[in-house]
Amino acid sequence: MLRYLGERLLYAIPTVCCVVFLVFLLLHLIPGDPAQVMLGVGASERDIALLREKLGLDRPLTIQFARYLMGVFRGDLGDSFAYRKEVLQVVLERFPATIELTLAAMVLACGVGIPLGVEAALRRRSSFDLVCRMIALAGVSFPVFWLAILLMYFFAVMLHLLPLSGRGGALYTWNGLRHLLLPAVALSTIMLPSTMRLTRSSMLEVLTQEYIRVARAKGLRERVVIYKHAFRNAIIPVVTNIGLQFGMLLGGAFLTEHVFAWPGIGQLTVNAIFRRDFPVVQGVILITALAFFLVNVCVDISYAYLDPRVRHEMVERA
Amino acid sequence: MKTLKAIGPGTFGIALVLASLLIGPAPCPGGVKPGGTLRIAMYADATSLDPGGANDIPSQKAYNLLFDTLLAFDRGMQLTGHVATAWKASPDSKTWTFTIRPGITFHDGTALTAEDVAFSFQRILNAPEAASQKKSAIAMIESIEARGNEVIFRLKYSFAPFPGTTAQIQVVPKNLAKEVGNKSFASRPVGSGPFRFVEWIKDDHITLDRYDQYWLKRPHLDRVVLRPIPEGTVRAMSLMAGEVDIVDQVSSETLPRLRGVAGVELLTTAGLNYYWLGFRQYGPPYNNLKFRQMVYHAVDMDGAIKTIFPHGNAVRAYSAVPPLVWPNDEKFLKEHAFRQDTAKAKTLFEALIAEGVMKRDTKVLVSMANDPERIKLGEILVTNLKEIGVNAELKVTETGSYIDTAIKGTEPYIYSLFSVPRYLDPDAIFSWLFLSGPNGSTHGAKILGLTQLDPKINDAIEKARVISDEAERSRLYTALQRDVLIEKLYHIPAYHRTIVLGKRSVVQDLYPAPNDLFWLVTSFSNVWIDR
Repeated sequence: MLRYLGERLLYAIPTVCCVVFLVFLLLHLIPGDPAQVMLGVGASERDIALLREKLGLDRPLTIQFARYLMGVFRGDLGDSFAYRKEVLQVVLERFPATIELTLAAMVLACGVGIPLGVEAALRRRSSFDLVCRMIALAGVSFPVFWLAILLMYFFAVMLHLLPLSGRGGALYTWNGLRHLLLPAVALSTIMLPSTMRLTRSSMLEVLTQEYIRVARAKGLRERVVIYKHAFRNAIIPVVTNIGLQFGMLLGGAFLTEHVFAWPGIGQLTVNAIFRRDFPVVQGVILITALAFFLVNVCVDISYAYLDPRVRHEMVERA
Repeated sequence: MKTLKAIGPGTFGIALVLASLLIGPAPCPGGVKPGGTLRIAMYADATSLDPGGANDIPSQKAYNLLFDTLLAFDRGMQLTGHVATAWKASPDSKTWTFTIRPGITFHDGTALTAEDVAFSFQRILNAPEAASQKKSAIAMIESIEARGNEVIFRLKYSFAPFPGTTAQIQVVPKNLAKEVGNKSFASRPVGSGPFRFVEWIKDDHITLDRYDQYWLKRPHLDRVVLRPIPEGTVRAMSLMAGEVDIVDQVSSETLPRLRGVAGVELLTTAGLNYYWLGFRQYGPPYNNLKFRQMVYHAVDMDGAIKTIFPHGNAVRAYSAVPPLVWPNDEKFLKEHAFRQDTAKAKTLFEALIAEGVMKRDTKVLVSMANDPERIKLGEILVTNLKEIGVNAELKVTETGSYIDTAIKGTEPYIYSLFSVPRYLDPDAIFSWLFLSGPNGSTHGAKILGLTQLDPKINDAIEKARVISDEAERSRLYTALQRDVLIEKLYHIPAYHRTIVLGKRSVVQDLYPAPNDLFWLVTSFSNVWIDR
């Protein structure tokens, strides 16, 4: 297992480097001078030139990138132009909020989507199945932004049941949970429909397999047949999907954070792009890429737990 | 009688105390109820609470509650003493002396002195370390001296508008700022303002508590919480739901919705902004006066304002000088402004073709930043131009790129920008918009394409900077403005946006500030909450 993890990490390094390079290049191609933005339109050319020199922006792009990459390997992501603080500090102040929101949305999406998908498969062509499919269709059709405003208006403005925006505190506090609920529900709609549909179709496929018929013929209880034999095989593609959807959730979190004034990296990144705060944008992309990589490693490890064939293969390789 | 004798003085005294506890403290004069937390929703979070570190509006709104300035503005946006009780200039307007008010303390209890004032200005000037946007506003300072309770500024050149620039610079404690350094000071700012810093959870809230020893007056509020809520609709809903007490930047879309809500009021005031259509003089036909006249006659500016701002949160501009700033020449400029005259515009178009300035199919580019209101203005202008046969095209660019390209590029086109004066003096407006010369043009002039010296414009601006007689300065600026807006038509003034503040009815004594800040404790107000 450790060897497997080591291999994955080695593969990740060039991938992340490529991502960082592409982002670096694209950012510097966008018109707009960070020094100009920091000093304002009234600044003199001399002051702008001095600041560009201080920030290292006057050096060739290759030198700037090389210095940045060397800093990354030392754990130094540079200083934010706008906040005048270390990028790592700026990003880590906000990253937990985004992870909290994303994980909450994922838990909601899986916690609701997977059971509904299983039941829809078991009650195929029933009215329950029809309702589930309609929910899935609605979920992919409704824009998150619109749904968020609707939820806010209904639960916060009309019923005064939940707070409208902001983060009320840590996740383990009652106020924190109340503030998290609406944005997590809104964000979960990105992942819930696909999770539900995939679970349903995967279950339907597995339920037609020979070993399910054998299990029933052996006299096993239906619950054991469904959850011990069918579900465990059906969940494998769903787990893959979760790993892929995590990236979409992170992207969707940016918009959700904007609407709900959730203090995560989404807001930070949007503002950093407008301000030409290159180090912050690069830092966010890098950390997001690493988070995405970690989630997919976890997904791959979960296969070993779910599928003995994968576990056996890993052991043989080691 | 026996009962009365049994009630001794001690018992009576206890009863009186208990009764007073039940009744509560005696109300302040005028029915003011001190105490409470004021929750304000802003459209964005601050980037820094160090007044030398950032000059974006959200940061200004926040640190304006923490710090004081040498001079401040009254309700009519007239300069008035604040930390400084008096100021005077040398006859040549090159040396300015400010007398510092005694008895002001910072939030850490130390006294505010002339040394702190001098230091506060010096750290701004020490760019690029400070990298401050405010440096350009005070770049004319050559040296600063603190002498007793006076601060003496010696300028590189005569500059009559200098007092206005001091209203932008907040006073910080010299010893503390030097001791902890800029980075630490930004994290835990200490000022002399009506509120002191408590905590800042980034992108979530900034909490400020009342400073009881505030020299001007004791704030009524216990606490102020500033919450960034970027989405305009959500800010409005927060006000409706009672989650916040004040929202800024009420958008055009949410205005009508908020007007009908019980317990919510909208406060408006003229803003210190100026939006315009400009003609970049980098090439034909934009540098041709007849072309500019044609466009001015073609565009229906009144109709455009009504379309873009159907709820009346902007007024038509005829002057580059915003309302509340002098000189006010609105009457003359309005009388001489062009009205939409399609027939005249068509005649001018034909004349331009006949003179070879442009062809019938010459593409006229209208370039706008990615701002919904200005995009609409661009669309209306393009439509009006097409109606007279001009081949007009609209191009929309992201705002950061738009300004950068406009400053550095030399492509001619029709553009739209807005300006807010860096200091409240007509010099800030006209120099930024039009000053050009051998030392380089200001960005406003570069964007316009005025890279060559225009003696008429430059002489007026340079002369007005030197003289202190306001009437004479007013005459110079008036003549300058008439030249650029009526004779040369470099700009078509578009609109001045109105500042709209939403508040719950329980918030009392709040006035909307034309400079878009929060006036919570001023010489004319002290906000309190009636609940």
